[in-house]
Amino acid sequence: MSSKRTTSQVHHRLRIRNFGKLSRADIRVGNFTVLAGPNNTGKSFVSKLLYSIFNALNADLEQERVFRLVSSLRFDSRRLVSVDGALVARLRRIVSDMEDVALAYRKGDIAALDQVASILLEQATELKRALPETTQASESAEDDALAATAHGSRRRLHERELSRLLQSIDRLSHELKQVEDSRAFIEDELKHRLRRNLLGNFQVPKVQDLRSDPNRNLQVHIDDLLDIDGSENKLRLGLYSSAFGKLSDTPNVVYLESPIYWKIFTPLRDVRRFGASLGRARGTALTGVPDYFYDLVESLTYEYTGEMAYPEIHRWLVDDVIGGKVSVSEFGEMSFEEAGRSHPLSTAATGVANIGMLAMLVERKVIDRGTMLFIDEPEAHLHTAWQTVMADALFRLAGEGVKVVVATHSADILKWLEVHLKEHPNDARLVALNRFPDPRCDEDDLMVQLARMKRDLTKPFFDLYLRGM
Amino acid sequence: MTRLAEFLEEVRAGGEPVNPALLAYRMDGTSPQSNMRARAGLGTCNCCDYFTFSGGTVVLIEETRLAAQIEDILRTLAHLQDGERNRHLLRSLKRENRLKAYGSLLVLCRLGRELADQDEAAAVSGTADFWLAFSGDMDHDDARGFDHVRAELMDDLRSVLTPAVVQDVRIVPARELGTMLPSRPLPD
Repeated sequence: MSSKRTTSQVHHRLRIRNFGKLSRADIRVGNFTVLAGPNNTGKSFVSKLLYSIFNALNADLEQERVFRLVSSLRFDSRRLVSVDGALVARLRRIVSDMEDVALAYRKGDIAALDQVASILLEQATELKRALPETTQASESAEDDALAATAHGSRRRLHERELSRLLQSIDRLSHELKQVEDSRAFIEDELKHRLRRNLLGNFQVPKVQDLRSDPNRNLQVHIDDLLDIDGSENKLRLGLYSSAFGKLSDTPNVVYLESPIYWKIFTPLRDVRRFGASLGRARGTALTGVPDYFYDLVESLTYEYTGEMAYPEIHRWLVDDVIGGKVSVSEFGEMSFEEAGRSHPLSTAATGVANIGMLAMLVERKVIDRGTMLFIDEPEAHLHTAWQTVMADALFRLAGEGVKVVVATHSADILKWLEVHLKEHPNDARLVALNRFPDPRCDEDDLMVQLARMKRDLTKPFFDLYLRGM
Repeated sequence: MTRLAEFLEEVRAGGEPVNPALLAYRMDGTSPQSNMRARAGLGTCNCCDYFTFSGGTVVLIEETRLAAQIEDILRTLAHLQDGERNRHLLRSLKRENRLKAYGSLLVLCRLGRELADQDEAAAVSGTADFWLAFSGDMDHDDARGFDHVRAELMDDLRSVLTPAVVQDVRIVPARELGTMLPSRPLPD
């Protein structure tokens, strides 16, 4: 007698404590991960958390760090208003040379981190030498007396500007000297990036605001990958040794949310062009629009080499389902083309925009083999017929190597999955199910999990059904 | 000496044979000659109406007028508030069908020892599916409602029984049984 337990292959197990709606949650991530449950149970929270983590892990952390350090110098050198013109020109030229080096590293013209660090260290020394000696001397009593006059006020500004630049140089030099310990170098950058991702994707002022109980730490553990521990004042990050082999191993990490964002794409893009008065605060200002939207906008601005990975899925969606396609112009304007006519995406049906965006991401190779695709409420604005099309398309992508994470409360999508798994039991290996509001890894049988998830989602209808009898 | 062929009957739903014709083993017959339950020594035990074999699986078939049954139960619970009434309804449906599934498995288990033909004995001990075959029409609301009942029954049965014992629960239209199952039982 053979047992036919339907089980999946799990890539990651995630343990979350005290995060958003979830006091505790154990999450499984596979090729086709489903986070399902009623509204306001923490699905999107987990989805955004996973995106924030994998987006950070996927970044080229060494390049980012080098760039961030040099950018800081650039910013400070641009703010030198009280400094003699010739000196400013000299300082900016050196900083500009440093930017060229950082850019060459980003483009791969300089391959090794220690090589770029060595060049930048030399340039930093030259930059420091170019600064007037007074910048590096401590203030005397005479300086203090001078500072009380108008002339002194200008001089104080002058010194503050140069002192800030000097601090940036020292920080850059200090950090570049640490590159031999590349693990610490990466961990620091990952922590910075993760914090930025969490703030930007959740649009909260502090990571600590994401805790459900403010008296306890926020904790996230991913097997063999990382530990995050956030207290009132600190975000600690621990990276497992095995994690280093998994860094940057995904071509792209994409978060696709409501098609409404794409219909009002132009104003949202403009919101990102903050006023110049924000200065250094530009990177931390909250707009209410999550960063993952802008990450995706940015990834659409690039051209990618190679052939489209999934032409059949694209053709099916474009020709057989919506009868047209979403395009983005070189100026970033989005339109829907059908029957030889093109009109702004804002005038297309929202369901068309939803499916059309998925097709467009496939066409532009933003979704490629190995891409990690997060999609929140794929059922949004879709009739049941197209919900099953969407489920089918996402599952096909998962079967072809895209890692898909779906947050849904659609019983129709789950029904599609149930029927599909009955018809193709071998596909169960792709699926990881998580039932909200209390996701735990205590039931391995997918069909039982699916029955429970569907029961949760169809209960309101069933209650009405009984009332109507 | 017991042989399964003694219990082979034409499956009927709502008093009529299903179309196309389907033969299955009658489990809860009442005639003294072909009463499978009684033959297994379980005369008053709950069990399904029929069983058959399909693709190496034992399919237990319980014929029901599900919508009418739900209405009947609701009527008896009319004094309760909606939430409580619905909970009682589901509890009642789950209990009834769980007992039928358990009873049927018990009958098959007992019968397996009686069967002289060892191939048949092996066949009845295979993994089982539990099918509720409802007679009468079904509209889209019924379809969604029944799907919810299916999820409840699946969770209820599979929380206790492993997939090696009960693999799947289905709620199917009785009139489609003849197209969904082999016309005669086909042990693997």
